[in-house]
Amino acid sequence: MELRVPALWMSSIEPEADAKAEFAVLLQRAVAGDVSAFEQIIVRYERRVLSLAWRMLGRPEDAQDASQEVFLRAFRYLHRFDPGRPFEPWLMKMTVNVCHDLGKKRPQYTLLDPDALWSTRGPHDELHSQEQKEILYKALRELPEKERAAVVLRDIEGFSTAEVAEILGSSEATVRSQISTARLKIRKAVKRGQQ
Amino acid sequence: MNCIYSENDIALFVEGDLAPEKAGEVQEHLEFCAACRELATDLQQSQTAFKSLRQDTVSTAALLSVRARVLSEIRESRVKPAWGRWIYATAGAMFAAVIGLGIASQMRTPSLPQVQQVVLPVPPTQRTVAPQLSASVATERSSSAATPVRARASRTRPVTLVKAGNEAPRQTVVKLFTDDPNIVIYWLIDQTGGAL
Repeated sequence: MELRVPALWMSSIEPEADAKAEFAVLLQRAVAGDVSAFEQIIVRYERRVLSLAWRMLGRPEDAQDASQEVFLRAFRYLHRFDPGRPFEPWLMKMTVNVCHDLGKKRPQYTLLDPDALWSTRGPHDELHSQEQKEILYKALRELPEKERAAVVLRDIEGFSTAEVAEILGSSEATVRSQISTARLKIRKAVKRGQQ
Repeated sequence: MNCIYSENDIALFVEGDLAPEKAGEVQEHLEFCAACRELATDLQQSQTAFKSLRQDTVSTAALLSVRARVLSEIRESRVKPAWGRWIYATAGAMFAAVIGLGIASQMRTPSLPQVQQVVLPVPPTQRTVAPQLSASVATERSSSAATPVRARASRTRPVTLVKAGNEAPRQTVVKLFTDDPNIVIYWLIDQTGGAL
């Protein structure tokens, strides 16, 4: 038994450690200008970036433009990233900033066709109708930008409150206030839709 | 709602965003407050619906399109890592520094006042026995370039006095031209070399 404990312990952390080391090497190569290494980084995060951009901006074409800009900026400023910190919040922060910039240039948040960008429908689609989905997306687009960013990052992207605060560059108290207000607005919208 | 807990507290509670102590208090409160309980139930339902939007996944075509655009931009060298641009930035800064230093050193070169010597005859009745003196005026170069005009002018001094014999005493007028064309300094020197 005494021998098994360290063996189990090692097996539980090794994959994560390997992944971190592998990613660190990818980063180094990308910083040095290796495009294929950067392509691998894109593959890892493109879905997350594009989803967030779409939920922030509402229009598929804007979301794609924003995602493109996010990765170009990431390539440009990769050398500034601190390898000791998690990469995803850094990239999400960049995404939020790019969406903010793009939102100022193209302020019309329109969600003409929620299915324009999404290819698959999850199992929950059977549970709630297309109508309810539209209500939710409408409620989302009616939120102020900061509340939208906070609630999307927390409730849909699944970041912790602390991570959301870091991404948005605000305090945890502010994020809690934003997400609670947004949740109440969404609840009201859902309730209105049910009536 | 007229409770000690706000709607925002309940909205945080349903997703576990309250501190454990406060969450425990809200949990106890919900047991006897029907209004808060109803709100919590509504919020749980709307949050379940809202979080189901996670199931929407981005199409592969959209992802491929973005990736292709990004890689194309990078490969066509329209985007370079910022470290690469540092080389150009550093070279530019060094070039600007060299140019700046050159201009500064040019500006600091001391321009000495121009000295013009004018000898005016003085009637012999005024000074009878005084020997005529002619002043040679030399200037002392100042190492400090930024010396104001007056200070530089004050450094101009006669260095030799030549006795010219028993001729009529004369006054020497030294005219100093400064950098500023509006400022001309006249210096009257008597036979002994002192300023009048």
